[in-house]
Amino acid sequence: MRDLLITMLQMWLALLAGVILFQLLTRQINLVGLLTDRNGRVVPEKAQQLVAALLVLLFYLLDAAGVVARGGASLPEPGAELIALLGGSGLLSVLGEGWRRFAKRD
Amino acid sequence: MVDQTDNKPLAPAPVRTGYDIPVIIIAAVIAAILLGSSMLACKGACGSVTSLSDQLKLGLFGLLIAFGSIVLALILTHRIDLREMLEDDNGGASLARFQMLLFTFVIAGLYLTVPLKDGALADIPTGVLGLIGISGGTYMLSKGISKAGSGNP
Repeated sequence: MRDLLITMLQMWLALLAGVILFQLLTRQINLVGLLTDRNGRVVPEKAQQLVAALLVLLFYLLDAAGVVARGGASLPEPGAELIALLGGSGLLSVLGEGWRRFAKRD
Repeated sequence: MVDQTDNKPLAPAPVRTGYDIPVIIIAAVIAAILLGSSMLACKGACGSVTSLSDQLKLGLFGLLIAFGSIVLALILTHRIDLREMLEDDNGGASLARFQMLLFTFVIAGLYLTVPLKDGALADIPTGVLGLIGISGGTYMLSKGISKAGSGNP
């Protein structure tokens, strides 16, 4: 029974992810401005944040895939360097946004 | 939401009332697909319903399936509009929201996949909570700066 519930939740999550991915690819979900400012210029700190987030997810997924392959029964602990990378890039992005909004205005 | 071409606000979507037959049909099809594919994935090893407790679980399980299927059907028929899901207050896509979306799906997917080996839900490591917290914290800070910045002259 529990296996059926978990399998069904997995299927539901996969369907939801598929619908969102489809809407992203067909531009039904707006991605304009994801890496740019109001003037359409690419913002470096946003680009580095996206790259850092994707790298962290990739490394963690590889780690988790190894755990699954070995038959582990819990999620792996992400390394401190992954947490530092994500936190650092997020902080840099937030500081950059603050700088653009406040400091440049003065 | 703001129209990017001439900066005019878009007209709000009309409010729908009453029963919506296509949504109910689509939800029923999704529920059937979910149930059928999950039964196939289990290959008959999903367990049997014998006790009252199992029957109660099955009832709650059915409610959950119905709710999840209706949500998916409403998204597919655009009754739940996801167009502005990633937009911030300025009308542009927010990287912090996008990052949160990615982390939510990846970690939820992994959480449902890994513990399936034992058939029981496992603890979430503190490092994973840290990753989710950083992702959410970045979004909160970004939103705070965005709000404070738009409030200034």
